[in-house]
Amino acid sequence: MLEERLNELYEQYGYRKFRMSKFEDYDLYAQNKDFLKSGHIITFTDVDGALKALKPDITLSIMKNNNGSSEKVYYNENVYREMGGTFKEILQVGVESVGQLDPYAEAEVIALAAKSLELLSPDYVLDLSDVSFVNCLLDGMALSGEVREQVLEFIAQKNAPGIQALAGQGKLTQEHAQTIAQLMAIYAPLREGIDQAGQLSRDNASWDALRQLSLVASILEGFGLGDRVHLDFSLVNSMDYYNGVIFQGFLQNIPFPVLSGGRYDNLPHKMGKQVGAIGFALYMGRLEPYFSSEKQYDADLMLTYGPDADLAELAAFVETLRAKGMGVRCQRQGDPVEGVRCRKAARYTRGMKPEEVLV
Amino acid sequence: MINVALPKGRLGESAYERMAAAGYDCPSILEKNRKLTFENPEKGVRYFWVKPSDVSIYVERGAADVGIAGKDILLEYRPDVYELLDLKMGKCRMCVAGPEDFYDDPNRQLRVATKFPHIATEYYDSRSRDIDIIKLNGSIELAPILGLSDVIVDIVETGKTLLENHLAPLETIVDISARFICNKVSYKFKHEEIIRLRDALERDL
Repeated sequence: MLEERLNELYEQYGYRKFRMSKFEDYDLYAQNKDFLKSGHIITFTDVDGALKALKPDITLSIMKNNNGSSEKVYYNENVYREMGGTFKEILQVGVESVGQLDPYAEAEVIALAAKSLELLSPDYVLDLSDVSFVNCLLDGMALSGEVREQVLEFIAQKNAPGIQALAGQGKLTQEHAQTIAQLMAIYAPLREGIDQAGQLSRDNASWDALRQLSLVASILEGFGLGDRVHLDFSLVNSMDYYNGVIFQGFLQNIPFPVLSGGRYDNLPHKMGKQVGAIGFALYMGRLEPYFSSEKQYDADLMLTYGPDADLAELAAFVETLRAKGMGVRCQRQGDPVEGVRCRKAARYTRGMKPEEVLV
Repeated sequence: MINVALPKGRLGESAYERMAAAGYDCPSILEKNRKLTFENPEKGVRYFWVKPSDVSIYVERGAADVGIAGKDILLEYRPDVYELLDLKMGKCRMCVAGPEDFYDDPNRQLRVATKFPHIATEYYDSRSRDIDIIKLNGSIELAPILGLSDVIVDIVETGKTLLENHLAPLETIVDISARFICNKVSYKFKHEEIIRLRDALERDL
């Protein structure tokens, strides 16, 4: 099982399993609405009248339970979220590292993300961006709120013509438009990308962000992942949730990110905890349709028996088949069976030999 | 191999000519037959025709790596894709149109018929105008004539159809042209091929 292999990986790095109940106080989500992707939550009234919710997220609960100490945890939990107009139960596997985070702690989580993807498929890409660098760059341009929002949207679409159009309308200077266009054109292995971003850096804060990133890059090399992580500033979504590095994982032929995560110090700070936090989640539930199923049959053998069959003998015979590793479905002759597919079908006769029906 | 979704119709045909001129030709596409996909392994491309409003779906879901889609479709359906180039073709405007002498009484709710409810809603929201959206799938010009709506939000190319029906473009919402869009995951896994294609198309602009 994939989840078990992922759990083994996390335990190798000393991460502890985090378990929680299906229900959480609704207050937790009401107070931290900004940190949830959508405001739709399944709520119900508990027996004592308290308003409860089916958890839409795990990170908030981990943060809530943190008392300011360093914590490294992983989880496999179902979350309940709105998707495509209805509520869905989605299996999420994730990792969170909380505490006074240094570049090592940050790189470790990114490395775990890469190694998780590798377990799913050797053909993976992990893209990384730094929200604080993008923010510094845009702060330096002193844009109005509306234009800034548009610029961020265009960066997410790598929409160079859109940026040009903004410059044409006089909402951006030509120089700034050029810088943004260069920023979103960057797509390179981390080290190389940092060098390219360095040419756009204009102030100390953005230099600091890059220096931090390059420290992370060298630790990732230590983890043996130097060329597997790419820098791509088009990952700018949920800017209010994340405040530092953010990353997303992709697998070939799956048209959405299968993993996403990043640094989110704003959440613990909002909860009054003086710690940093970084983590990621893998959306296992959404992957299922993309992994080809190996199972083509419900059972190896469909064995039908007539009204005159000796049922005790039948049971004994089928047990010998099962002992040989076969899956066998027994069905009385003439019973309607719909949609069951077996590799082979046979009719049970007295004194039947296993060799006659082995597949 | 890059999968390219082309919109059926005039726009798609001229888009294919652009692709061919950029060195990605596929002669079999010009043959009249019932084939659905057209491949040129030498050039590393496979083309297929889809309904214009479906191009963004094929690209967003990764069935096509890249595609040509009108900006109107991108604004309406908001697919999660990269928008790499403005091809500067298929140019037209998204307009509010109505009777030539239309007076917009601010005290009344405005009835708007359109194929593009998202664009229309957003436009009127930005002006804090209360509207009633009527989603139609074709013959939008008929709506104000029969009194189904006060105005329409639709694409205007020459304005001829409007004129013949005694309608006129009243306001321009946004300029439209064809865009070269790309699936976000393909961009990563076929990066070099896609950048080469984009650069070839950009050279001809």
